[in-house]
Amino acid sequence: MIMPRHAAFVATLVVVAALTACDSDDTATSDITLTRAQLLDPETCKACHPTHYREWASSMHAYASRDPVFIAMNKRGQRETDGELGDFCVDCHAPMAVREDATTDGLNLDDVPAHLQGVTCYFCHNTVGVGEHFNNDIELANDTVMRGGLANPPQTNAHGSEYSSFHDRNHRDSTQLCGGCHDIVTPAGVQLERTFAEYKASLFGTSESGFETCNGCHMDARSAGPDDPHREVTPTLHEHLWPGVDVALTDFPDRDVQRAAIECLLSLNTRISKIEHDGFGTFTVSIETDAGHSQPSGAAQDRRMWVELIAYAADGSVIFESGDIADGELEEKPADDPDYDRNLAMFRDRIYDAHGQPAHMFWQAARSEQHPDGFRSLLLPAITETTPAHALQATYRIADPERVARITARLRIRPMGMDVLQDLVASGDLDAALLAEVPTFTLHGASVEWRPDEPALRPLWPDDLQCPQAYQCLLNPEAPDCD
Amino acid sequence: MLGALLGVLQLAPLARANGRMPGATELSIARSDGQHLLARATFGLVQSFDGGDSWQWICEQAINVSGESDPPLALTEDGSLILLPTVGATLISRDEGCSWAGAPELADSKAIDLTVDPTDPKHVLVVTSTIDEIDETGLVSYINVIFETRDNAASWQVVATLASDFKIETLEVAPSEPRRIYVSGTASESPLIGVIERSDDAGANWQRTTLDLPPSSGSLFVSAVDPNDPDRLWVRVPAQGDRFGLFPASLLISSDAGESFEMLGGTAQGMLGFALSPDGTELAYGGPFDGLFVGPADGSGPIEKVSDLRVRCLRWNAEGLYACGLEPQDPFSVGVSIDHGASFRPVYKMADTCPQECADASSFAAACQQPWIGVGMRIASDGEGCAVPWANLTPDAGSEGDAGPEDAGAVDGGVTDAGATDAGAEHDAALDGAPTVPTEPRASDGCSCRAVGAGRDAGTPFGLSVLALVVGLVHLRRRRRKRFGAAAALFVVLMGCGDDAASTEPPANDDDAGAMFVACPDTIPRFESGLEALGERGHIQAVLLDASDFPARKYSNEWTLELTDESGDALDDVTVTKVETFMPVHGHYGRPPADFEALEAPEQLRAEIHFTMRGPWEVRIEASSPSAGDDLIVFDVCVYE
Repeated sequence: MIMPRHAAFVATLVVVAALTACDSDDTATSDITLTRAQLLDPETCKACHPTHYREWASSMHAYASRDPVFIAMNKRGQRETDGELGDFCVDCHAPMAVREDATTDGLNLDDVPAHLQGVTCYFCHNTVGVGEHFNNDIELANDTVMRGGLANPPQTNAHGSEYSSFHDRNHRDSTQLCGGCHDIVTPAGVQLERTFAEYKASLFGTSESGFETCNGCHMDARSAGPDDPHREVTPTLHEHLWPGVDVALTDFPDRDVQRAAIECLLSLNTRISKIEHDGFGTFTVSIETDAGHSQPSGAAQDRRMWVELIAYAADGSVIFESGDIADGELEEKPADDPDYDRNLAMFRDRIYDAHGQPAHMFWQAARSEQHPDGFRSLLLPAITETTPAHALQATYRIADPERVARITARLRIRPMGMDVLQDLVASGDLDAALLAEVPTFTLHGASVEWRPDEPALRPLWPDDLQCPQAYQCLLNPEAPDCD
Repeated sequence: MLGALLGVLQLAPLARANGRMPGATELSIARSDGQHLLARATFGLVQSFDGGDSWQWICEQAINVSGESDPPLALTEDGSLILLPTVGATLISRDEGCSWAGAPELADSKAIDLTVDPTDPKHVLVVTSTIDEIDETGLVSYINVIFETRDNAASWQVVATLASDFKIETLEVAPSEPRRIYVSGTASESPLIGVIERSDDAGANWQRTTLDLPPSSGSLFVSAVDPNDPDRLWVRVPAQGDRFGLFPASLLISSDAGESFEMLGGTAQGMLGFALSPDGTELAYGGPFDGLFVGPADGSGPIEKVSDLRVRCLRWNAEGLYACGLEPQDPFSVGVSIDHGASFRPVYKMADTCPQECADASSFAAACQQPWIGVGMRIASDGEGCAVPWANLTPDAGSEGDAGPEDAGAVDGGVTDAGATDAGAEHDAALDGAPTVPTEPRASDGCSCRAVGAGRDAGTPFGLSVLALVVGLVHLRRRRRKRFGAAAALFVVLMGCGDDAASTEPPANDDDAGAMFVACPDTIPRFESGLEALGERGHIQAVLLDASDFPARKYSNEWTLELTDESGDALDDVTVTKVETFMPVHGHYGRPPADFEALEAPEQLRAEIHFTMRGPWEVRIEASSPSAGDDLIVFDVCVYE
């Protein structure tokens, strides 16, 4: 991207000011007070908070308005609704751009200054209130005070510093800040994305023992390094990677870090708890998540998570398989396709239009007599207060079950279904080359091997996958345990 | 001596061993004997032969079924039990559940559902759906057969063979016309097609109707047929793979023998219960999240929510509307209502549970003694019941050697007041933020198990209580706080039958509680070198010699442990078979497996322990020693970050 000359000049000034504002040895001795305009720019934050910045810069928060799938979907949605979508998408994907009047519909993001792209440092750290818990009803102070989770933050000349329960990962309020954008209700009234609602209904979101916040899992704690300027303030920092399932499909900083972090988080929190043979050829696989929301979650109408199950004979030959989907391959094929998989266990939402017919794109989703919610959901549910048993079962019928010497079962997930992406390619809104960049993650905690004569499942966790070193060592190869 | 005492005091893992909250999930009432109630529970079967005054437990291990499944079951005219397990073939019991055997005629068939002839309770039909062939596209054909017995499950004959292109789910007989049989199931997978097969001539000929089911539907269950109109039936449509009732379900009605259907209602999550009133004019349905709904069966008027009961089953007969609730949120596991669900009288509370009284005590004991120690006692003692060790109890129906409320008083000087108990439960529900389930007092609350071969005073567990306390004190002196806690808790339970002082209720729910993350309760001991944990059976103890991180941290931790016998002497013949992490508050295990290796000294062990999130965890070590015995050692650990 070619940066306009004046923007480049402003950016240079911001960096110079920020470097002057921050003494890397002591954040409290800044000699410059940053303006609100300067604080709006993440580059300003980078000077004093380089690790946080680097993590954020690789995150989906930074990528939110750069994501070509978002851009394609917004473009098509605006076109097909005659602009009625308005700022529905971009209000969460580039909230400061909307609030600074740099865009009204996200169709001009190429012209939006870089410092307003994505979900920025200022947007989160200037939050002072949350109204409705969906569609970004988040209130900013619009001042020069940056809020955080430290109870007694050291004061700096650079900006005001305050404790805020919205930023305290141990406080319930912090879940509202996440929930503000991680629950989405469409203009047609369909509760499309329900991550926060799922969380609130789960044991994680109750006041019982078991309470945990969003960031308890998605902002891992890490020790401040010996050279980290924050070490004097707090020995424990919190990652700003927010791994989930979405990834950068285009060149972006530290893509490998984000993918490794996602692989770890997904793998550690799902499991196949049981494979049971009824003695008559029916094998039932019990799958559950330990996450504080359903899985998959968020844009679950676009996500695809499925069980790959392969049964082997004693000689190693495959006698049954389901869900063996190659990278880039369409997940759910039509019944007349030679590779149609009638046993495929797929976890996702399905959306319907006002006539009750299947829909592909979220703006088509509507409530109908046939589907009063506008969607049907089959997702791994989070644990709730009253149902510790929260597994779902996938059932497979295998001929000659006595031939089965072993079964491998793996849970796999893709952030976006190939059918959705192909649809966007077909409409001319998405570059077909990007489809090859869409990863398929294996959830290693839910990868097991069953043998008929063994009471316990064998875990198939890769020997070379160490978490969190898998991603932390990419960020800092010199860190302990990174040999 | 100490070892003997500890043997008495073995405490195995909690009742959640199979992953489900303990409770009843289905109720059968013998048509020939209304006093004989059979409840399917997540921890086995419980039966009452006196209309609910006392309840006897058969552990799931005795039947070889898992509490993770909900096998269909039925009672015949002579009290025989028929059970269709998830794994294996049909099982029959002719001794009230003490022993089970297969039905030879059904041995090669996968039984799916059964129904008792409404007009003849010794006549039972079982439908089987067994995989026959699977073609290269994965399309399955089934051998679909209906068997019947007309002699209380003594012999079985084939009634009908149905089409092979669908998987059968349910079987129902029209009460007003027993020759009318309905079978439901599903054909195809995508789209899923609901299938209703109907016979008007007791299975000789069949007519099929179909119903398109939306994606993510699981099946099609015929739930009831009108007692007066064989053409009117109700079906439920649950979600795919939803064994535990977590997803929306629909209720449909057909008034033309399944030719067409209309939507009658639904639940936001699982619809685990449905029942029709004996005269067929009213229906009830509900689920554990949605509550109980009652209304006109034909949908001619509103079907209204009448209770927040966490419905797990419904059954309606002349006595009233029976429902399975979920303790402790609900004040009973089985209750009955005579006012259309507005209020319930408790029929079965888990605290009433006693082991089954079996003639063949040896085989039953072999299967159920350990589960009783590990599960049954916990269930029975979670409320106000009198949990006592296996060897000292037998079920009591409240007749000879009556162990009713008066006996409770004889034991501990206090009598559980049924009304107070219920009020307490209601209080819990109110604190929980949920509306209450109105209940009526019961006549038989209190201790319901008595000592074997002794008068009731001799059977009181006072002596054991004292021993438990002694052991607890010994352990306190040895700084094994956890074992002392367990022993002391058992002392309280043994002493405190029906005593409010013995309450194990959680603290009142504070609105502010949980606003802040608190890593762990104060009861978890400080994690430091020298931390000890004694095995559940008291045979082996483990001492933490060193760890990579103090306190324990999220992700990988390396521990060095030493295993000794109960007196602290090193065990040179010990073998560790499994090390795993478990998070009790969320009910899940950690990343498998924990790697471990024996060190040069055979009693020492190095283990790599993985915690996948912060909070309270258990580290469970299974160890075996020819000299000391097998044991499960559990460390309670707080993981902060």
